[in-house]
Amino acid sequence: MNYEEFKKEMEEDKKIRKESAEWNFIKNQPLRIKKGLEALIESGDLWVASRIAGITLDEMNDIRIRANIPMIG
Amino acid sequence: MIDWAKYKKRDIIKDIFKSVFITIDVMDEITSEETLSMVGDYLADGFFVPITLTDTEREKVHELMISYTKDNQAPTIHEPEASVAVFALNHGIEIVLSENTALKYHYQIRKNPEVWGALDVLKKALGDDLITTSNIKKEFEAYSQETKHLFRKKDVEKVIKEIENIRGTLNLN
Repeated sequence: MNYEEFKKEMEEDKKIRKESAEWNFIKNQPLRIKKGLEALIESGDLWVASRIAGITLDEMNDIRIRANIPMIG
Repeated sequence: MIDWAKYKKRDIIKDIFKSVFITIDVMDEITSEETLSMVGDYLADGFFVPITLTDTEREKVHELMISYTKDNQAPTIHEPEASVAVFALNHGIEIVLSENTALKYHYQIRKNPEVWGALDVLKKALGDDLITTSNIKKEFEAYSQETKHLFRKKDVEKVIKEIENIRGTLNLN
């Protein structure tokens, strides 16, 4: 897989996360959590999302499940 | 690992690897009862081996991250992934367990180390009959259901073919 193919796959994954996400749940979260979840949808990177949200990876994982954001890979 | 802890058949990993190194930084990220329970058990029986990076390794982590950031034709990687890559390279560890797509991209060709996600671990378990099922696809679906971790359709199809080939070869012998 070259970099262009990689980026295409990332875009496809992002689309799935966007469509699956419970946006009402996300909108009602405190600012840092909301921004972390939005970053997760964009990037698929749980670690980055957890840094933004200011919580542990484990806590971020539980919140992303409640927000119905799948990990893909 | 955080996803893996939610999988009912998670203990099959012990039949695949003799031991798994886990960085202290990652351990600090574990807070849920489910993951703590798994990590606690695996540390207690010696399957998980906690490690910290040396100062020299930490310098290499930063160098690796910077080199990928400067490369316009490669995805960036963050500290946790760079840390495991450097540790593996430094100690001749052949397999790194990570779901990080950027890390998988960087090591897809050189395979030193190989980066395995849950799909690869399941492939090994199913190929070696550590999980016995006649419906391989259902096992991937069960993992996705239990962990809310999806696999790409094309990846699952490719892996199912590979497992069927392994099983076919075993049956012929």
